[in-house]
Amino acid sequence: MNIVVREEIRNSCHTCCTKLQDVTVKFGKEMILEKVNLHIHCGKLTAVVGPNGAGKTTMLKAILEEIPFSGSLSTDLRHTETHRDLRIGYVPQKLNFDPSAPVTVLDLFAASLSRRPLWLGRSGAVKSTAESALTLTRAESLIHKRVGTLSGGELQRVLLALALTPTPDLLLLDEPVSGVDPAGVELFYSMVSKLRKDHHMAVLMVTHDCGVAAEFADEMIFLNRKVICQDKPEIVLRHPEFVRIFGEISIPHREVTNG
Amino acid sequence: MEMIYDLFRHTIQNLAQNGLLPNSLTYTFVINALLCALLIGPTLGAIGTLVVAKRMAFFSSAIGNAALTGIAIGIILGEPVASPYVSLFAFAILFAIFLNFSRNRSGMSHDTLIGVFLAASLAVGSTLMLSVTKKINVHILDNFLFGSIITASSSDITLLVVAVGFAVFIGMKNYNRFLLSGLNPSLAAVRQVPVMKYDYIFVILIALITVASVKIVGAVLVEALLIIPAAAARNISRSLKSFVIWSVLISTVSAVTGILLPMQLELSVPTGGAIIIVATLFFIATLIIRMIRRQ
Repeated sequence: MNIVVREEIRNSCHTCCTKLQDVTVKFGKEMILEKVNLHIHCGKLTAVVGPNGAGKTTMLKAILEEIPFSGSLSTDLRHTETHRDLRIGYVPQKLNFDPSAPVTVLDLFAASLSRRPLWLGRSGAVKSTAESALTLTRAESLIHKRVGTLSGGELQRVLLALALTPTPDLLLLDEPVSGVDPAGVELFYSMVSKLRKDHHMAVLMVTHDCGVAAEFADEMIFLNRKVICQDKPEIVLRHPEFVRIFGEISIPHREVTNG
Repeated sequence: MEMIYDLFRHTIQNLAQNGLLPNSLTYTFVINALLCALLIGPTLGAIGTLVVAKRMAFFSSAIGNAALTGIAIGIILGEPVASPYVSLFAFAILFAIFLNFSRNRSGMSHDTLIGVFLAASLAVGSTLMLSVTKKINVHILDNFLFGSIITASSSDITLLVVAVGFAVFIGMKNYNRFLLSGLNPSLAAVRQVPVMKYDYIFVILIALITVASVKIVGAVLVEALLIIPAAAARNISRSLKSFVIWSVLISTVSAVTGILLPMQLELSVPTGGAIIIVATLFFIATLIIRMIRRQ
């Protein structure tokens, strides 16, 4: 079940992608995901939408190889550097976190990036890495704050910064903006959009908010135990099955860029 | 090993004779007690921060209670009454593994599941214990329940040293990974941390350290020393570093005070009880500090 990585030189970035082939997940006898076939392209923001219990988070967990699944997961990397595994960045929906726990943002970085016990003091390298990542997501002022005291939007920016260290090939976002105020949502999405353009990373985002997601996403996957439809957001939003479940959703500000 | 111990003993005895340390420290058994306190205190204090951060207080409580059952089984199987360590270790570790296994599988709320097994193990333990006490002196069981530093033998202390050494090694090497997998398993998985494996290592670590400290602080109270100092430290800490430092400090001071003070005052109280009372006083003090800061 290891991720197979083939290092190949690609001229066009859009040909490099992560492929899910017949990914099937069962919990006991219950089918959670059935034969999911997907191509997640780099440089694109792909939004995954679907009703509750559609298997959206399960799909992320399969990609993270956290749960057993059948089928295969493979990646073509565009990097020509030395052979290495697919690097995944992950922004969880929430931390299973005691809000009063004395863990600062910097502690969270140190725990993730270094094996030296946190309480023996950390190396300067970890601090400067954390600082530059947090600057990317406009969260640099939060570095010494306790994680439990952050607002929803602040926490998401910190977790995004963490997921970007080191720069991943594939960025997975699980309901990144639930519980974030509208201004925070806009900021978060525009940040992710910019990252995907600057670093050509593939972004896969699970979300409830179909309207806003459609505004920013390049591609949309409508998932309900299996992939019902994968296409441009404006097309997915008009899919009969989608309309049956979510009703008519219009995309307010989308710039029409693709003919 | 022996040399280090003798050096430690002689240094303390010299200091005590010169009046620099309390007079009671001229006795070997008091020095042994101090040594145990200095081993258990910092170790439980440091591991306790993980127990609290991973919200496993109830879990470690259940393991503490399982130790009792292990003792009863050991005595019934004919192990030495004062040190039924084989059954004790085996049962506590199997219990920890089983609990963690079903915690991952059952899909049931963790505290419900732990509550069931805690009660079940206590029931089995007490039933066996009652049948055992007809045959043996009840005071020996008291020692296991509430701790007695006076009866700690040199093999008890050796075992403690080995367990502490092991725990410190594993704990130091993997502290960040234990913590990260507690904060968010997926976040840890993405950093190539095999979360499930680390969960098992951690519960076995708790079982090991619990079993090794049972004779000194007692089965009932060993987990309290895992939780109370860390809970107290959390009240006054703002970063992880200060959290661990305070927890170790409070735990060590509680252990040393709880052992030495009753001896100094010539009070006949169980060691475990005294240690936990001191730790609880720290907890109350830090709680007050926290409330004052919040205003």
